[in-house]
Formats: sequence, C-alpha cells, structure tokens
Amino acid sequence: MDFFEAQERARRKTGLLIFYFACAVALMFVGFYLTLIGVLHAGSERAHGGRAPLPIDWFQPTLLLAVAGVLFVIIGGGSLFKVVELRAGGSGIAGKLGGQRVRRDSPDPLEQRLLNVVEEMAIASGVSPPPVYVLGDEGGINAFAAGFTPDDAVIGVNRGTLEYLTRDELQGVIAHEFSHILNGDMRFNLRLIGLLHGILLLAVIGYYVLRFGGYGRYGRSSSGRKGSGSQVALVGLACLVLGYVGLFFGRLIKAAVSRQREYLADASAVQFTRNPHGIAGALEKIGGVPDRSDVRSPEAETASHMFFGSALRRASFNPFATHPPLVDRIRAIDPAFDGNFPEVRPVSRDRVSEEQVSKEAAAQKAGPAGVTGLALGGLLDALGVAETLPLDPVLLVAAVGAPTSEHVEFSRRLLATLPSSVAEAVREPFSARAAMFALLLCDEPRVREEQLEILSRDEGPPTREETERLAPHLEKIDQSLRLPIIGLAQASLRDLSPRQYEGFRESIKKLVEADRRISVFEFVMQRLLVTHLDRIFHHAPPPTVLHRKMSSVAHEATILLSALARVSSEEESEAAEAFAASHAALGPGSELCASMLSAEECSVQEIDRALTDLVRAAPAVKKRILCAATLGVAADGEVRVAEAELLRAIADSLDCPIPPIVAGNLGTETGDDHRPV
Amino acid sequence: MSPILIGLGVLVAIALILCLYFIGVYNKLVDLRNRFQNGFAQIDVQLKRRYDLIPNLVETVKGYMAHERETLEAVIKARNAAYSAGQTAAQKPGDPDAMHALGSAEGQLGGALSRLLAVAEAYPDLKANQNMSNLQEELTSTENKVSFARQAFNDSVMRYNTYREQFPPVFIATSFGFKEAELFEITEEKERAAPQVKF
Repeated sequence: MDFFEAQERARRKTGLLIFYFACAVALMFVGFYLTLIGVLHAGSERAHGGRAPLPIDWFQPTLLLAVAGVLFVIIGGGSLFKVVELRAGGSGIAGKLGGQRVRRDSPDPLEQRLLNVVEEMAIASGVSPPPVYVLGDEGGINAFAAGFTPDDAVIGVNRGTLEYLTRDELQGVIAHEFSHILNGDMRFNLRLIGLLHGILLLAVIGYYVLRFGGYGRYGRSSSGRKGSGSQVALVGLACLVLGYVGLFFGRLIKAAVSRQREYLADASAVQFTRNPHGIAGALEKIGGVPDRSDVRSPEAETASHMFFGSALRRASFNPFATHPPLVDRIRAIDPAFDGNFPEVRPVSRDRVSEEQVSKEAAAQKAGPAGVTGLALGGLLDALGVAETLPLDPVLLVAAVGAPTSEHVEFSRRLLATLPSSVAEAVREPFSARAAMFALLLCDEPRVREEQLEILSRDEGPPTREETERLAPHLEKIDQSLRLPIIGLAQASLRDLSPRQYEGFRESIKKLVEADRRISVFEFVMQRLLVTHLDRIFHHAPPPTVLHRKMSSVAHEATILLSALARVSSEEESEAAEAFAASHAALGPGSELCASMLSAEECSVQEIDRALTDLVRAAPAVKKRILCAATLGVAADGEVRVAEAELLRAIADSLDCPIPPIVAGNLGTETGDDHRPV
Repeated sequence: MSPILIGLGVLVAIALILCLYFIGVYNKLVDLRNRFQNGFAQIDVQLKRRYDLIPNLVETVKGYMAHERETLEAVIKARNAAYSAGQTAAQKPGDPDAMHALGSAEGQLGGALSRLLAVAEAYPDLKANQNMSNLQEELTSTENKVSFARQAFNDSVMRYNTYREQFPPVFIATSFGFKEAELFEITEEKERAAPQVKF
C-alpha cells in the first residue's frame, strides 16, 4: 500500500461512506413518512367515527415534501454544523479534549523527548512538525492525531504515554499517528463525525419532542385535544427510534472502517521505524497499566476513532469497537506474543534526560561539531548514512508519505547537527522570521543593503538586527540543511498573528524580488513557506481533485520536467537527455507535449502556475509526475542542490511530502544554486 | 391535512437554525479566546527567559560597581515584582487588573534596567567584559521577542474584542461570561528612565 493508493482509498472510502449514509437517510425518510401516514390515518379514522375502515392514502405530496424538508434541515444542519466546527482544525479538538500545548522551553525532559521524536518524524516524512499537545489528566497510554489536513494537524498524547513508554515505544506511537496524518485518515474521520452528528441530532430532537409532546398531552387533556398531543408524541418517538437506528448503522460503519485502519497504521509504524518492538511494546504496556488506554474526557466518545488505543473500555468483542482487540493487534506485529501483559513502571525522568544528552553528544560526535562549511560529501560521511539514501525514483516515490527507518535516523542526526544558535532561532516565531529573511539575503553587498533596508522599513530595526545576527550562522550551514530548517521554521510561524503573517509574506516577496531575478532556491523557499502557511492563515479549503487524466495536465507536467532538466545541466544536449529520460516515465496521455520547453516557457512564473494547477490532479497522476521528475533528477548520476530543492518543492506543492533528499552523490557538486531559471 | 405538522416542521427548522447559529458564535468566541491565551503563553516564555537572565546580569555587574548598590537592588526588586505579576497574569491572560499590574511592573523593570545599563557605561572594565556583552545582547534579543509576541497577543485580543462587541455575539458573550480582554501595554516611566544629571 503506497501513499498514492492510500490517498485514493481514503477518497473512495469517503465516497462509500456517503453512500451508506445516504442509504441510512433514505431508510429513515421512508420510515418517518410511513409513521406519519399511519398517525394521520389513525387520526382521521378516529374523527370519522371508526365505522368503516378508510382507504389509506399512501401518496400525500405535501407531507412528503414536509418530511423531506424537515429531515434535510435536521440531518444536513447537524452534519454541517459539526463539520464547520471541526474545520477549525486540530488545535480546537485538542483543546476540547483538555490538551495543553507542549513548548520548546518545557523543563520536563519527557516533554522535550516527545517534541524531539515528533520533529524527527516530521522532517523524515517531509512535513513541518505539527503542534503537540499533552492531555495532562489522562494517566492511560494513548495518543491521537487530529486536523482537517496535514497543514492544520496536531498530535496529542496522554500524560501516561510519556511516563510509561521508552523512546523507541514512543517513536512507534508517533509513527502510527503520522501514518494517520499522511494517509488522509483525519479528514475522513472528521467527515464521519459530522455525518454521525447529523443523525444523532435527529434522535435528540425526537427525545425532546417526545417529552414536550407528553407535557402537552397532560396539560391539554381537558380541552379535548388529546389526539394531537399523542400524535406529536408519536412523531417524536419515531424521530427517536429512527435516529437511533440510523446511528446504530452509522456507528457500525465507523467502527468497521476504523478497525481496519488501525491495523494499517500499526503496520506503517513498523515500516517507518523498522522496529516492531517499539509499537508492539507500547501496545503491550497498554495492557499492563491500570488505566489501559482510557481517555476520561467527555469528548472522548466523539473522537474515539482518532486515538491510538481504544479510548473507551468495552467488551473484547464488540461490533462498535473502534479498535481491534489489543492482543490481536500485538499478534499482527509480533506473532510470538504469549498474551501476558508485562508489569509496567514509569520511566525515570533523570534517565530520560541523561539519555537525551548522551544521544545528542553521540550525534555531535558523528558529525563534527557545528558542521561548519562542510562539503556535501562531508556531511554525508558525517551523518554516516550516504549509502542508505540513494535517489532511486521507485524508492523515493515509495517513501512519499511513508519514510523508512533510515530517513528517521537521518533526520535525527540532521537535527542534532544543527548549530544551537540556529536550532533555537527557528523554534521561536520572531527569530524564525529573521532566519527566513537571512536565508534570502544576497551575497552582493549592494542588493544585500537594499534588502536590509526593506527589512528595517517594513519589519522594524529589531528584525533587521536579528536577521544580521543570524545570517553568518546560516551561511555556514550545509545547503542540504536549508529545507529542513524551513520546515522547522514553518511550525513556529504558525504562531504569528494574521497581521504579522501578512507582513511577513509581503517582506519575503520583496526580499526575493530585490535583485530583480528569482533563483531556484528563492522560488522553492517562497513556495514551501507560502503554500502551507496560506492554507492556515487564509483558511483556504484543501484542493479537490479536478484532473483525472494525464492528458489534461500534460503541458503542466512538461513545464516541471523541462525546468528540472534545465536546472540539472547548462548544456542544452545534456538537459535534453535528462528531459527525454524523465518524460518517457510520464506514460500514456503525455505524448501531446513531448519536447523540452525553452527557458522562457518554463520560467518561475510558469512553474508556479503549473504547480497550482497540478495540485488538483488525481493521486495516480501525481504519482507518475513525481516518478518522472525523480528520474530526470537522477538521470545524469549527479544531484545538484538546486535540483534536489526544486524536486522537493514540486513534491511538496503537490501535497506529496517526500523525505529529505541529499544532494551531491558523486562528489561533483557545484553548489551554484543562485542561477536564474 | 396537518397545519400542526407543517407548523411544527417550520418551528423545528427555525429553532435548529437559531441553535446552529448560536453554537457557531459560541465556538468562535472560544476559538478567539484560545488564540489570545496561546498568544500570552508565547509572551510568558520570553518574559521568564528575561527574568532568568537578570540575576546573572546583576551577578556580573556586582564585582565592578560596588558603589551602585541602590541601582542593583532596584533592579532585583523590580525583577521580583515583575516575576510575580507575570505569574498572576499567566493564570488569567486578558484580565484587566492582571494585565495592568504586569504592564506597570514590566515598565518599572525596564526603567531600572536601563538605569543600570546607563550607569554601567561609566565602567570601561565592565564594558570590556565578554560575559557582560553577551548578556546584554541576549537581553536585547529577548526584549525584541517580547515585543513581537506582545504585538501578536494584542492583535488577537483586538480580534476577540471586536468580534465580542458585534451585535448578535455580544448577547452570547455577556451571558456566557466572555469578558472583554485587556491589551498588554507596558507603562513606560519616562521621567525616571532618563539618566539624571546632577551638578
């Protein structure tokens, strides 16, 4: 199961869900209509005196319309409301469950460890680290991922998870949650909650109508309107019963889908970490702690299927269970499990902080302190993972949304080699902004002065000072680290106020345009930052699929491949070779535009336009484009920084997060990335 | 057939729409309130960092300027006052009293610090001290971060207040205890901050 299939499947499942839901609503509609016919018929028979049986009038257009209207308003309104509410994003859900945001400066080593694990996993899978919440009152072992899209996702963790699990086990749990985020499960989850809520609302209204109908009957019995009171009560009863019948089926669907997905996320967690003992150990510990995986918050029921373990304790075989039985899940990972849960003790905080320090020291030793000005090959050697990260198109595409343990390990070392000045800066909004500005500063003194002028004018002198302070630190950093740094900064920049964000966005644009040409890196950076942050700050809805066939986006795909080919080599003939190699992989539908475009035809503006269009392509189309692009980059056996960055920006803009790519390869690195496209 | 049913249906529909609207407004208020509270948490991080730096600064300065005990004590006193005001404010961000208290405590601290730094100018040895210049740089950078985070906080407080005062939301806000939030302004004490020249 790869990322693209998972996306496709999530969409199909949503379609199927809507179908089931429509069936349930139709059934409820018929039931409700028949009940009303019956009630009215009984009423008119009574009025008639009850001598001769009246023929039942099965078709009453007004009634039909009224029933349809009322049901539509109730269910539609209920669902809509819940979906709108949940659209507010993951942080809202985390807040409702009683989560507290974990901050970088937390004195608790357990929380620090959690943030590190989340950051590693995020960098490895190519997304910016989501905000992390801790449910402080929950002593059981559990975790959840919530949000409408990966951009507004959050990860929440029970206090018990931090206290009982080792780092490997925690990593397994976080990998499980990332699999939910990357596979588009969350959006599906939220829709599910919304639809169920609509049906539930019908039952709730039925309950109240029944109660008020009952009062009406007693209150008015003397006035001789007994009949209408009991009729209303009957209608209420019908609402209640049908609502619960609908809910019953809805929950069955929800539980069935959710159980399958948990197995899948467990399997993905093993794949991400290549350590079955991590996730299996976490699951075993759930069985061993007194609180199990309980979540006490009253909101737990609605969110039950988003959790890592079953949030509500239920009988082991239950058709409504959102999670498979614990023992089955463990056996799916570790067939040798004997069914005895271990006795669990909290891990010691002191040991966690010691472990942290020693791991950091080890990583620092692996990479010479500070990685100052290392050649790219040097960085690879320092990280000791050169041979494990080949740029193989098949492997890379397989790693979209599913990083391997090598990527996670690589990211861990990458983060540890960041100089502390930079690492601190990108984790705080004010300095993260300055760090982004500093990355854009030009080497040419005249342009640089102009850029700094823009900064002091638009963002104020303190920002300019901070930018100048950070610039030398960032210049020393290996270029392969720039994109992970942008990813980290992006996470901090979510904390800007909308006004501050607009200013930031504008300043970035001005800095990029200061030298009147846009380099590949400048384009990539702007694209990476703005695409995701815009979705958060402008509340843009996630793109819907518009292009299902390669033929309808062939021109756009050709623009990207031409641009990549031109970045890969200045020689027209070599570029053409790279283009031909990659274009062949686009497959059927792309024949219409089979020649490499001129430099003007694949300018930065054109790439930008093409990406905006391609984000709406179907997953299968995206997969082919990404595969072709990777082939083009790898064609000449050398990966330039600019190529790697452009590829990353393309993948990211298509919402297919890819693990970090390391440029260099054969040591013929030029590092010339400020060349205009 | 059934004017009752139709009437009932219409009533239910209206009630439902009102109900949805009401819940929507309520949720939006909660969301906006969460945002500014989150904004304060960011200020808090930087303020704490600053409170931690000040004792180091005083410790460094002490050896050089033994005659300025008063100035040093004023800084420590102002720091402690700001620290406790900060703790109260973190409990209830946006509360007018807490915000005013913190604002004036921060103003006092800022004044005391700038007096200290102005006095320190007169000690060339101190100015040459590496530790001192590091601390000074860190203080400046932390202050910049505070004022940036303060701007973000005030933006979200304004958004919350504006929404809260609009026509239908104002009813829901007042009946569910969404109080007006206070901006975080630092009350500068200008006349005292300027170094006094005596003849």
